[in-house]
Amino acid sequence: MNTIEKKFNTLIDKAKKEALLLTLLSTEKEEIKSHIVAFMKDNQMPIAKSNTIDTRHYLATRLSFLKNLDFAVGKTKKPFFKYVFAVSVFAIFLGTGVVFSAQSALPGDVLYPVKVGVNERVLSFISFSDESKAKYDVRLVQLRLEEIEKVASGKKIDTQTSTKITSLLDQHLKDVKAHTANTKSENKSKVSVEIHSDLEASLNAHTQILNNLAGKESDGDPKNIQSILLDVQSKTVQIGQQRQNSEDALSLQSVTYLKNSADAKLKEAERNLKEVSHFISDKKGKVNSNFYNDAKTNLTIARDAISQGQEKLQSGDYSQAFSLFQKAVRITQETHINFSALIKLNITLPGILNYR
Amino acid sequence: MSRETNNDKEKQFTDAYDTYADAIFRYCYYRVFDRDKAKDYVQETFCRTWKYIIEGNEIENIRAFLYKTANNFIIDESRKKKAVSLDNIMEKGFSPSIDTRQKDENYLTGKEVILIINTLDEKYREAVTMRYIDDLSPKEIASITGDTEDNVSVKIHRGLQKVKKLLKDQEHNGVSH
Repeated sequence: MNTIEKKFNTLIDKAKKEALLLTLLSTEKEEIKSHIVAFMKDNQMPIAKSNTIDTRHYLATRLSFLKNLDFAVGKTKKPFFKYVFAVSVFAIFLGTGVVFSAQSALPGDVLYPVKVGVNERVLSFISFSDESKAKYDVRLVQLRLEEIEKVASGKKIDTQTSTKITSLLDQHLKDVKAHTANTKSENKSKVSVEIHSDLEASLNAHTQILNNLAGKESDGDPKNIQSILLDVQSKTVQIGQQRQNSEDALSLQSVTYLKNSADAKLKEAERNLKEVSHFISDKKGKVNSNFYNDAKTNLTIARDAISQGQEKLQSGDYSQAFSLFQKAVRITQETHINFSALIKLNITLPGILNYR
Repeated sequence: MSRETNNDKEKQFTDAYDTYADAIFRYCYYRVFDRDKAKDYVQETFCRTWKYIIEGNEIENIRAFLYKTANNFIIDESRKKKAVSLDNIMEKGFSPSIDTRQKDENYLTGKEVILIINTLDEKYREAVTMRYIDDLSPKEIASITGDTEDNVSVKIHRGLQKVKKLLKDQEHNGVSH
């Protein structure tokens, strides 16, 4: 390197060093950060789809990758029978578009058996672990309930549909139980609590909605929706009991494990509470004031559960803390489901939600 | 998108702010030479990035994305206003302190070199500044500006040639024995 080049490189290094001296003052940095954080609060990320009424989108998303036959047939290296079967079924139906049309079918529609008997079974194959299968089964329970509510809000439910839905719910719940029991994860008891809690929240929320719809059904046979309602109520109680059994099993875990689980659950509960609070505030204008106030009350109950959980956390009762935080998660979840249903189905829920 | 992922994304984003705010500030400052404006641009850059994230988009390289967003914003703003001249810069207080009494290899300060770089045509100025002041690679510069890596390398090379010539002229004019 000649002298001129050396000089030049030295000058450039000087420029670089000089440039690096220029930084934000710590007060300036914090001030800008506070503006950005405020912006983030006003522009929140969408609430988790797994606990919203948008279950159809969840399932459609899982289905969409199979549109790419090259991926499914040519590139997979797993000579896995179930994949081959799944792809074969789709290869047959894709040409006619039957499979994708079936995704939006409701109970009583011609393509509903395709949706339940083919599409959903194929999607189940895609879940490899028992934990993910159990979570998928919970989504199916939610979907069934949403479907029946949609049908009931538009027209009467016949006996055949009522029987079919009850039978499907039975099957999905049996599958949840089986997959949860088979979960080999070291977090088995925690997974069991979370799955049963998720299910309990959905069933309880939908019981309220079905109760309202049962009161409205005037020109059909009210027995059909009543029988679904009674069935869902009894399942809610059963699942609640299973959730408590899972919490008892969880309490036998090590102190470290329980503390870590409780800490994580606290964060989840606080986050959910914040998200649902924003959600209902955002949608306030779409519901009547009584319902809005009831929803706010429920979130206060959730907040209290979190406070009680924090006291337990501080006193070292991590198992109880976890249960209280999980309760807060359940309450916010139910509030969100009901609020969303109110808007989507355009129904009025008389009072709301009684929390246990 | 799970609840935990949402929270993770928020945390990752605020961590990215803590990590890159100074670099983005420098990047903006050496284009507008106005501290307050540069701070506004930093805020706007991060807000626009957050909006991009909540629309469901994934960002592979947050550092490059931030630079690109800042660059696009600066371009938009510069179209509204006239370019920053050396006189403007000096008025605002970034006065070079050329010492015409000295004649050695260290007579130019880092600030002076930056100012000299700033007198280049925009295409060369951008490439040289991003390469030597912001310490970005030609590949990163290409992804930020939307140019090809080869073109960026050519611009850096030509820009440096011009800087060398200007520095040589400066050195020559600075002689006052």
